[in-house]
Amino acid sequence: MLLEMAKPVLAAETFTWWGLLGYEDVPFYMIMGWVVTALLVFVSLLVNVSLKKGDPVVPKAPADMGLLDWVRHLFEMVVETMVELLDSLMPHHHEGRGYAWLIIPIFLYILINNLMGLAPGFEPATSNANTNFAVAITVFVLYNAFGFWKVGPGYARHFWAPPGLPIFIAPVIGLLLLGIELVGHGFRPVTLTLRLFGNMTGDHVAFTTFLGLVPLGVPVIFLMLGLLVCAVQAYVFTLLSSVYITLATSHEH
Amino acid sequence: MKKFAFGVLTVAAVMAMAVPAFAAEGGAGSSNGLFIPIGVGLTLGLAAFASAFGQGRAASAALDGIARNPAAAGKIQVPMILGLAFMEALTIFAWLVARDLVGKI
Repeated sequence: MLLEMAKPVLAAETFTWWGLLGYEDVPFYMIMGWVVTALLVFVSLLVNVSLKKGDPVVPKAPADMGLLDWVRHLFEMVVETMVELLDSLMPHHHEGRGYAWLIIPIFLYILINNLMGLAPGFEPATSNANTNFAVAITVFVLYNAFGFWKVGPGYARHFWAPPGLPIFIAPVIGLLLLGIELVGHGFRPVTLTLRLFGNMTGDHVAFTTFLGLVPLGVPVIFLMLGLLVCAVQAYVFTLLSSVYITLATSHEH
Repeated sequence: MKKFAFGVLTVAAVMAMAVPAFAAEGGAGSSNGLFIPIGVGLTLGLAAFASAFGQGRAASAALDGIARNPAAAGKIQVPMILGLAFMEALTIFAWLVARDLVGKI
């Protein structure tokens, strides 16, 4: 009977927790995407409850803290770092924090997805280009929307020639710059997607290769490298998104 | 310098003479099959070299900054890691291309 249960696990190429339950055919990025979303929603609800029950400003002494307070303080660390980053990019009247509702979920989603890939039995959803492209295209559409919202119709001026050129030269330079800007802007979601995809896949391949070579001891170093790469890539994605929003909404005061 | 250039040209000439030899053997399946492995090797080699060069410069600048002002080490470290990640991403794009090329051999 045990052998019957073990057969699908042994037959599968990689071990996954949902493969144990029989769901090998479902794409891993869908399952992992939903798992991470559910986890983040649950943690956010916990933090919400903690903020309503206790004092939102004064922290408790470490001896009095319960699980809810630990979760809340972790969340506050992340929020504080991201708000500081956004405020440093867009300092005018703390304009930066108006975009925290977009930037913090991006950071947490990508970070938790990356980190879950390090655990055995899980596959990071970000190692499939679809997940990354979803976030990248959202950022792309939204930063253009913010540009039009904040700057008005003059945002399209970014793509044409700068004002003040003679009327015969302006269309030529304008068309040239339009081409360059369109390619540059269209390239942004592509690089965002592929950078994260390549890093996660490459990291996984390197780890698997060394696991096949030396099963004991050496892969620990690759897990540590994996931690660094996961955190850095999540931060790079978030930082680039913030910079794109800053560039799109920059206007003379 | 002249000797080095002469040496490189000799090697290139010998390799160019070897190409008809490959064709005469009728080696890899299609007519351009023999260039794909060379392409893969060149892609990854150039990517690794360029990335190492650029990242070395970034790390060198960061180390200079830390040597001048050891108290600012934490503040210098984060932008350095960021710069390294951008250069690493370009190398990984090259690896993605090479991965597809290897599948076509």
